[in-house]
Amino acid sequence: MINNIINILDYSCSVNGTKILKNINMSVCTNCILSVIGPKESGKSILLKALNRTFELINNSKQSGEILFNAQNINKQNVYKIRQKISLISSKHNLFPRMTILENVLAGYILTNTKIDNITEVKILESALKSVGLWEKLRNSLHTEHQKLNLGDKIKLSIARAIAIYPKVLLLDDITAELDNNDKNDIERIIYELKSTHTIIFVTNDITQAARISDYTAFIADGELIEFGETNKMFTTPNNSMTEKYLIGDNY
Amino acid sequence: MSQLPKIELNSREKEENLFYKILIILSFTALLPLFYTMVDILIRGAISLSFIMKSNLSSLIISGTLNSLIATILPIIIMLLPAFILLYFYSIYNQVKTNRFVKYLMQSFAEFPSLLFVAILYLLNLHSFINNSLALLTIALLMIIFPKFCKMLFDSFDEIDSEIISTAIALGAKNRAVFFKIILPSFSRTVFADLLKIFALTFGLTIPFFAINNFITGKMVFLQETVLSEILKFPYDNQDLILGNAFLLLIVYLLTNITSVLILKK
Repeated sequence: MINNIINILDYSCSVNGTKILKNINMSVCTNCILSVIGPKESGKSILLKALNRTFELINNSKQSGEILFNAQNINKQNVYKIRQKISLISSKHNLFPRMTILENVLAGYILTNTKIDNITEVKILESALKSVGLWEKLRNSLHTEHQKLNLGDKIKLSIARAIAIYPKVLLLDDITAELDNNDKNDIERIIYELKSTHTIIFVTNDITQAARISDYTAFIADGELIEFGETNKMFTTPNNSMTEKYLIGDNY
Repeated sequence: MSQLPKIELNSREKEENLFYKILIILSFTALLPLFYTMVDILIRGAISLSFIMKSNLSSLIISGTLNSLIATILPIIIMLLPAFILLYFYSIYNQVKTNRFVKYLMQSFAEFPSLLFVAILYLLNLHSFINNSLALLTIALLMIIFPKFCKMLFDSFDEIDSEIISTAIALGAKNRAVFFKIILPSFSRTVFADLLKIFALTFGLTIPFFAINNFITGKMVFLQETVLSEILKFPYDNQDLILGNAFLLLIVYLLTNITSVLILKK
């Protein structure tokens, strides 16, 4: 429990009376990578929204159970701080259209009116862009718009924007879905490198990707956590027949 | 010949359909003053062509521009702040929540004052009351353009990618920051185009008031005395000026509409 940065205790949620997640119990250890796999519409992305506290913004949404971050219930903490500590990156890059590359990376500060001096600003910028391998490429074009970047770089920039605010947990919602293999490999390498400083939970529909980079895997189907455990173990000897069928591509 | 299968709408779609139907009917009703104005301008504009051929064009331009600009710009300036305040609340309610009730309520509300105005205009013949009173005309114009501008803003807001807004919220931004730093910059160009459209509409709407007023009272309404005396020096009666005014404004109306469409296209 002490090493777990996130503990999800009997968490359920619904929208308009329809249950989306049902009695989820799961722990995520510090500085590890957890992949969440499962069929489409099974509630994977909703789980990330619940962790980032953006699920509660959905109309007619209800939640029960607890999500603990550093042993404290996230619903009892400052919502804006939680959203910065547990940062969500969605499947689309969603870079802000009227902001330059620099402003996009520092958006977490601009949008929260956090004042930082120029030296700190440059340090944050350099560190965030270096983490995603874009510093050398973009250092001379920080004041230009991001529209000319390719999709892979845009996704990397959205990761840089998230890590610029020093979150403890990164939630990645299938961010490699639309990328080609080269960019996908790049992003996987970045995720693996970020593991030393962040806890990472990523949703993916690509089970081979989950097998490649995650330490733990959670399999969710129809809003239920079917199986959760070490990735190696789950992929070689799954405990549940549904997991086994999903992993080999059968209908379960 | 085989019949195409009938597509069954679910209850949510039916509800949306009904709301849209009501909105369309309301929109058409609210457009009545505009149709009325356009027909009025077209008739008077056509008659005025003959006057323009033999008139001093500069006198027509001066009178037309001054008369209508005063009456047009004033309500636009007045409505800007309340419209953006309303947009702020609208954007908060519609950021991530899909609160359709609030959305429809606010959009329907945006059309009602126009409907009310049409009723007053046609049933009580308000033209004569607006005589010589810039304040009354401003109120009347506000009743038409304020809801229209609000609806334009709401529609523009609805076109913004909601995921951009969600991303800003997920980064820890508060409502105010989302509104001023993400929403407003995202559609500044659209707002400019909307303002141009509203300007064109208001410009067009001022004409019947001037024309009718002049037929009744035989004098110019809102011009300052000095300007008025300058205009009256010309050897044309007021009707000529008003008709020329109408023709000029028809051109302005069309030009501003085309410009706003071009801006939107970009």
